[in-house]
Amino acid sequence: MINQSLVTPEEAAAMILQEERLLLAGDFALLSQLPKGNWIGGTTPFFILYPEHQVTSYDKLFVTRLPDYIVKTTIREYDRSDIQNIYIDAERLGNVFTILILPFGSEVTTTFTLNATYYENFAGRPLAGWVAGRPLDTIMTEPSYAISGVDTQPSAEKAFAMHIELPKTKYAELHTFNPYIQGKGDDITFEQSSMVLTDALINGKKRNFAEYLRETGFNPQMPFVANYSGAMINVVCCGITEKEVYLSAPVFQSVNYRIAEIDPKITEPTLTDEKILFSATCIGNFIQPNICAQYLRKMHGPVVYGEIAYQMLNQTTIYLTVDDIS
Amino acid sequence: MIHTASTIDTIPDSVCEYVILHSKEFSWNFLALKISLTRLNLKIAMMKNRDSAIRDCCAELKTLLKKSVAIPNAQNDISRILEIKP
Repeated sequence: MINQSLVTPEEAAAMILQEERLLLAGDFALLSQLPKGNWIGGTTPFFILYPEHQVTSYDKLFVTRLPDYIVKTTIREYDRSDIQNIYIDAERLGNVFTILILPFGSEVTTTFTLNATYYENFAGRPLAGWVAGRPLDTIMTEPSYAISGVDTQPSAEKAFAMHIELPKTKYAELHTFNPYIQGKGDDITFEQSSMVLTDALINGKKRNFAEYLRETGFNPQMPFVANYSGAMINVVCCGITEKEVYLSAPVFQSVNYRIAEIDPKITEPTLTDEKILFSATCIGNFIQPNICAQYLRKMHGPVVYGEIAYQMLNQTTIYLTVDDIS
Repeated sequence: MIHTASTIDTIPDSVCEYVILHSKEFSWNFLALKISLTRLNLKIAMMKNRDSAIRDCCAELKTLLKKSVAIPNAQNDISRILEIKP
């Protein structure tokens, strides 16, 4: 494990004052009292941390201390008007990977979620990140925050990114752990990319999607899954009204989705945890004890409301590794 | 490192086109490639000028591979692409 732990706000403040470069996650009251420095953070009280696996804390912060070999970090803030530059910025900064924290429910989050795959230089550099949230009972009614050590002003509207430069001898790579695959049910496609759905093409036949899900006894714990050339990409349903279906990430026009099933060949990632520099796990996996205990033992990090591996993902664990170029 | 940017320049556009249009038939290792291939596949499907879209997408694919040559999983995928004969 690379320098990841739960610490008190006082301990985090001491690290910041010692000019450590930090990625932070925790409760709003703790993050908002930290001093200026080289850090970014976001709100969540939930964490994956060995050996407890599922940790809830309102009095400690989850901290990832960047290793000494990191050459340089650059913190940038983004809003809906300039988030499309994030891959361009990374490219300009050299051999970097980027950690992005977006506040749940913000316009910048929606903009990134809908459009990231169309951004210039998409996937040209590893972009990992997460959507900051709150406890489930207040996630829809109270704001979530991202924050940076540049001005220490929590924001419910701005995203903060840390572009992290590696030495030329190292590379970063993004991975996902997804317990789901496409099930054997109907092929579901959509005529428009959207996060709010009215109609769907079920095996090519157009019909109201909410009615279809009700009629087929859809289990909302199961995401819709698309096969991206071998990468299973989930989209979570977060609400069904009489005629509409609401999603926490978009479905894309012409991509084929199916309702998920648990991957029968699921295995724990084989990487050694020393190489995992950053990880984030969806709250949809966090609330399933078997998944955390069996498969996520090395995935220490915040529990989140959307995880980013190049683009927004759902109900997935993302992790970023750093290794030597051979 | 086996493959370099100049190796990637030798990949014919016909191979890039085949890789994009048949991306699900292969087992890829590199996550960025998996996601990008699907995105490029959709881009070709959506654009009115198919020939122009294919040219653009082949160039994008090569650019991604060049940026990723330091990554072993990308190297493995480049090896696979070099073996493809459409």
